[in-house]
Amino acid sequence: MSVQEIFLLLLVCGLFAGILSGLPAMLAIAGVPFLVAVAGHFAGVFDLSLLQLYPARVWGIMSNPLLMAVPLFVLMGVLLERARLAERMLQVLAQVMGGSARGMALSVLLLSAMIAASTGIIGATVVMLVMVGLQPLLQAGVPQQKAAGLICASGTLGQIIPPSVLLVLLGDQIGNVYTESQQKAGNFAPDAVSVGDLFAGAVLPGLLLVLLYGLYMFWTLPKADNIQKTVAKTRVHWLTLVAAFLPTLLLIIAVLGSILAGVATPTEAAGLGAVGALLLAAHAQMQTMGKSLVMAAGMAALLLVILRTFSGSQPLTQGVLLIPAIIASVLMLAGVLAAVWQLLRTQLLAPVAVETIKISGMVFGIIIAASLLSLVFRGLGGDHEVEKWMQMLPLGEWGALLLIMLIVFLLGFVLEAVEIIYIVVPLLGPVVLSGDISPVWFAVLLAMNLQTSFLTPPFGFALFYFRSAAPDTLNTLQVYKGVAPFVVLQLMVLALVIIFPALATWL
Amino acid sequence: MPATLYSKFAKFTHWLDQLALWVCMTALTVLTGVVLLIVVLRYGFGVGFIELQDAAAYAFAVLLIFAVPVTLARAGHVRVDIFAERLGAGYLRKLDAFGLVFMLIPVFGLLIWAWLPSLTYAWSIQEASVETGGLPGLYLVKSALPVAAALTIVQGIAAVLRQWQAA
Repeated sequence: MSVQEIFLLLLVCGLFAGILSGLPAMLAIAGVPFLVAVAGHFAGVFDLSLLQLYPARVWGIMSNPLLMAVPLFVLMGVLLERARLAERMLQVLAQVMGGSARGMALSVLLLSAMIAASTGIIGATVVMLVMVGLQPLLQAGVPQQKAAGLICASGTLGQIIPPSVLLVLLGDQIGNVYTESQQKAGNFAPDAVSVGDLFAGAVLPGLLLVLLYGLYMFWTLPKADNIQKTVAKTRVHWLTLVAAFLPTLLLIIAVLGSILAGVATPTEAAGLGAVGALLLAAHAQMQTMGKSLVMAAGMAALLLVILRTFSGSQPLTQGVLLIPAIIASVLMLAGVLAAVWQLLRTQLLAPVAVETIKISGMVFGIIIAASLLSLVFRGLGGDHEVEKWMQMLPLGEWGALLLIMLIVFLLGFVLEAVEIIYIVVPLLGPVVLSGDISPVWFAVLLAMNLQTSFLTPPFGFALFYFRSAAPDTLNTLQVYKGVAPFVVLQLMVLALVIIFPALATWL
Repeated sequence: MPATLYSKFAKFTHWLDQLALWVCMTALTVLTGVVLLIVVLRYGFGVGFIELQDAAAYAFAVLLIFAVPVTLARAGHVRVDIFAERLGAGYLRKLDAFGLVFMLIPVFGLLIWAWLPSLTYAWSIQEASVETGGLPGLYLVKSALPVAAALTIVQGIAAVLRQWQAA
């Protein structure tokens, strides 16, 4: 073993010791490599002047247009969560489905899929589902164990169902590493990997998961009639149902659709999503006058899109459509301002902004820290070492892929997704991405793998969040047992995506 | 540390935190507003302005780096505390002090110190956006990096002192 290899080993072990010691992960991920680099300098295996590149790398992160979508998606998610739109939707559902275990379970699942699409933050989703979904599920006759499993599993859907922050971050890293390692391997014009590609790739696997969860619930839960009804089923006017669901659904379709159709960049779509969530949140709070103003703003946005479609390639600045377009824009702006005013008045906006900044700060702190890690890792020749080891594996890049999947699965027990993506992809990704393996497929596999790992007992994050929010009548073992079938379903879909890569690369 | 001196320091760091939070909130507002404007102008009217793209990029850069000290002041950076929570408050206090002295101060100090040459250069030419027709003032945005790094160090010190003072 060379001195350099010893230091690499020291770096990897130190990193895990540092993270597990309880230091903020950001600090451990940046601090341990720093200390190893200094020690390596004295041992003559690290050139300290390399560290001078660090600020320029951080500046690179600050000016990365791809990451701009992150705070906007977070803002959208936090707004929808704090505005209690999901709670309202579930209450309506509980009224419709009251008494039917199967119906209630399916409702919670569908609702989670929607929430997952709009927020994509595991912890928040699981806690919210426990708060609003657990009681209705139990009252409708869903066994405790199954209810726990369903909530944990549904809560992790946000990782995979686009638009998800996780996929934006994966797109950033995979895109970089793919281009770089393809060029190294002699392909000087690789197709760029965009966040939109990943979103498109994750759609089918995500929906497949929801479908399988649904089928499992459908088969294992009794029909309504066999259960003693504890909650009276009240008739709910279909308009109430539409009013509760349509706005959020439209918002998600607009955001996701515009990215998938390639009309908007992820940042633009995320910005639109954040503003849309702002309107929805204000709309839910306001009365008559304000309500119609905010609604008019939403309509105006729609009108603008229609006008644009009719005008074809000709810009609206010329022609008769200019005046309605201006009116629509002004109306929209007025509605947005009214919404902001309303949310400021009810003191919802300031806490939402602080929360958004906190979540963004957490994510960006890790990204900044991981940049120092990969600098030191490469400075110690880690990239060559990894390549060397990976070549010793049987099955070539497939062996490497399997190994990476295993590592990511294990890391998922102790680390959050952001940390794993920014540690594993730059350090181990090049080996897989320099060959013919589709980067989109690889990214979708990673995302699904992470999601499964967050669900797997005994360490899965979703389970911790569930335990922290759920009443003590459910013991840990019950939760584990409830989650187990969902982990099996997850692994089935993961296997399906491995066998049929087209599921991820169809678009 | 004497109590009066500490309370002065705590007040000072709280004030710095409020300032950083204000910067973040402004940046978030500008980012969201400008992106909305870009979308309306581009998809509504088919026009685009480089200046707006730059404004969004500037706001994002400032938001990203200032969010780090703001999050630190709110203990918002994730920890894996499955082991640490069993070892008690005393352990965590010593751990954080270690992290501050050997990790936080050197790493963020490095960010300030190694950035100064490029920053002085950016100031000397009053560097503007690389896009033709873009906004001026990129050198000011670049200055956000060392300022936020310094704020992170201050908030790191404040957090550790707070723990020791409470003990």
